[in-house]
Parts: sequence; C-alpha cells; structure tokens
Amino acid sequence: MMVDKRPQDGHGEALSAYIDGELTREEAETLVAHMDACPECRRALESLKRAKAVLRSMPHEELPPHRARVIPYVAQNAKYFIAVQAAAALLILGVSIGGGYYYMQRLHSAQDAKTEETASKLAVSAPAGQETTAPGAAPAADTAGSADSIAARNREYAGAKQESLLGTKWKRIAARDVEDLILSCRGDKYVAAKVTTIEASDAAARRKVLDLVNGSRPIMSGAAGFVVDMEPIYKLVIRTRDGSSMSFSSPFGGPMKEMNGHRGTPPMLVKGLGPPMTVENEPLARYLYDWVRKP
Amino acid sequence: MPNPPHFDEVYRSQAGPVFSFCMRLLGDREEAMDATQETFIKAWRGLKYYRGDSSVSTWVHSIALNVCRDAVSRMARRPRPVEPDERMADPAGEFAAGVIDAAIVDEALARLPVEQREALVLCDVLGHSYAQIAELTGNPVGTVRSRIHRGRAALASILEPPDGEDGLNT
Repeated sequence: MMVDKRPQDGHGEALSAYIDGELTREEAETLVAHMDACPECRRALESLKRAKAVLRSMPHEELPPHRARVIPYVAQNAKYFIAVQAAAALLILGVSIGGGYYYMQRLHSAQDAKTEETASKLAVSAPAGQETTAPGAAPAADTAGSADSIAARNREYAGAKQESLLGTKWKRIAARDVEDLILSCRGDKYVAAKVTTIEASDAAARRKVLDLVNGSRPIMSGAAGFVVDMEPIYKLVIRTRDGSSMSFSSPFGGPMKEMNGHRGTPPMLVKGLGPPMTVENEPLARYLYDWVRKP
Repeated sequence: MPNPPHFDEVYRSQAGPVFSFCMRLLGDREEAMDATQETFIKAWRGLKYYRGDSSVSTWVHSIALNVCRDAVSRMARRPRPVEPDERMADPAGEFAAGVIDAAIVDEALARLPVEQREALVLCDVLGHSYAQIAELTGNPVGTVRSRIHRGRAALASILEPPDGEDGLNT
C-alpha cells in the first residue's frame, strides 16, 4: 500500500483537510502561503482533488426495483424474518418478472405427463453440491453421477423422511399461467428473506437453484426473473390455471440451522397437496401474490 | 423530544444513499443489497430508540457501517464463488454506461485498508464532515483526518500512478 514519502507529505493531511474544508481559516492561510512556494504541494493538491472528484462522481447506485420494493416490507415484518442475513435458503422459488418463468418442481397433475416436454425438464440433484441429470432431462454440461448413484443417495436420505429432489423434473410455467400464490407458515416462523434475480436459461437457472438448494449462498445476476428464497418458511403453494398446484416445504419442518447439519441434503421438499392450503401469513401472501401478478 | 421519523420516510430518503454506501464499501451488488436490507431491518427495530441526537442520515449510515463491517469480515473469511461473467450478464442494463469507471474505482477502493475506505467513502461519497465521520466510526477526528488523507493519496496513486508505475493494470 502506498505510503506517503513524497515532499508534500509533511503537508499531506493538511492538503486533504484543505480540500475537505476542514482547516481553520488560519491553517488554510498558512497552507496557501506555503503552496505558493511549493510546486510539489500544488501538484499533490491537484492529485488529491482529482481523487476526491472521482469518488464524488461515482454513480448513485439505485436499488434494483424488486429489492427496493421488498426491503421495506421485509424490514417492517422483521419479527417474522428469521436469520435474514447470509444463511442458506430454505425455500426457493424462481419467479419470472415479465417474460421469465417459474422454475419449480412439478407435482400432481395428470395432464402433466402428457404435455411435458423433454426440453423443459430440469434434473435436479441435491447432495454434496453435485449436479446430476435425470434420464431424458435437459442438456446439462456439468453432469455428475449416474442413475444408480442418484438412487443410492435417494435411499440415503430416505431415513430422514425426505423426498429428495434427485432426478425430479422441473417444468417451466409461464407467469401468466399462475392463478394463485399462497404462502403458509407454521407458528411465527415464516420468512421471505431475499429476493434476487435468476437467469432465465435452464442450465444456468438450475445450477443456481442448486446452489441455493445445496445450501450455498445465492449466486444470482440480473435476468428476467428472480428467486424468492425464504427461510424458514414451511410451505408455499402455487396453483396454476390448469388446476395443478405445487408446494414447497421444509424437509425437517424446522429452521435452516437444523438442516445445515445435513450436508448436501436438499433443504426443500416438494409434496403434492390436495386443496389449497389455509393462508396463515396473509399479508406476506398478499404481498407476493400482488407482486407476482402485477410485475 | 420529537416523534421518531416514520420508517417509510427514512427508507425513501435513505435507501439509495445507504445502498451506494454499501456498494462502495463492499464492492459487490448482492452483498450491498443484503447489507442494505439488513440495515433497514435494524433501523426499523431501532427507530423507537432513535433520539434525534444525530441526523437520520448519520444514524442510518452508522447502522450500515456496522453491517458492512460484519459483511467485510464475513467476505474475507469466505471468498464468494462468483464467476467473473455473472456480474456482466445483466440484461437489465444495470452495468450500462459508466460501469467501467465505477468498477475501476470500486476496485481501487477495495485495495485500500478497510478503515481508510470507510473514512474516504463517508467523506467523499457521502459528503460527511470529519466530525460526523469521527462520530460514525468511533474514532478521534485526528485519526479520521489521517485515514482520509492516506486513503485519498493511495487512491490517487492507484488511479493515476506516478510515471514508471502501473496502476490498476498491473
């Protein structure tokens, strides 16, 4: 790192303070008088002024609109928001804003089997941060593991009564198809902690969702969608116009900390639901619902 | 004692400056967004204790400063796995014109010791006085003055290296 070893350095702090208007009148007069006779200090002054000007001209950063909207909501509901900082995501929902798609695990819907397109499938693996590809699933450059190892891992986690995301199919659902978005929580532990963007391409989205699923920090960048990751929310239901519904819920029914002890365990579980769930956290549900409906 | 300010007002007036502040200190959009959110969560919780001793801006920035300090130490412990191209894949245009310069300045800032960076950002980006910065950072004014100068001189040397030296291009 730079250390002041130049001729003007005896006056360095005074020069900066002068620029900042932090010298007394007497100090300033003394310094100005000195500079008249000291070209080094005059040059140093100009250099310091330019550095200050550069910082002052830094663009004013604008919060991305979705964050700008969500933050006050999150803040004012902070008592509901547990472990907002940093911790890994428990529930992830990739929702599009204007042209993107929802990435979510598909559940019970009879016609799904017929209409599902291979290209729209996303194979999701959970353990140990690896990605695997289900048979016939979308192209994945970063394939790791086989069907056997997937099955083995599935069995491994079966004891925890989890439904692994291994090999499950993901489907794109256009935002316009979403009829309803219902959030439900248990007790006071419900959270919508972060909203970040997710890229729209399948491979990238999957990888990022996996990063979330596997407990690492969300790695997101700007795109036509966002991920709502909520912790520790217990259930989320989305109904689409074709009558299918999807839900996400915590595998352990507990907060993220418990799950961090299970490395590689998918921190979410997808279950089929019957009728739409009771809305217990209505403000949050309404907020996100409106938000999704009117992007 | 005046009534505490309304949160919406605080948020409306301070969200941008706080986010900018976090950006300059952290040099990372996602981290800065998280820090901004956390700042306002803390501000919301602390609003009823805000006594108006300092301006709302100073108060909120002092919260942000602490949040960013935590984030800086957390980031130092755990390098973020961001791929270089991720930040550029930005169809929303957030990294549009001007981003190069800002990125260079952010990189230069990131090279400064964190306490110099804090003081310099508070002074030059937010326009705080030395006294305000002293209050915010919990340091004597003399320390603040020294850090600002050293940080600014270092920044100048990075951005316009003396002859024969490379700045950021090294």
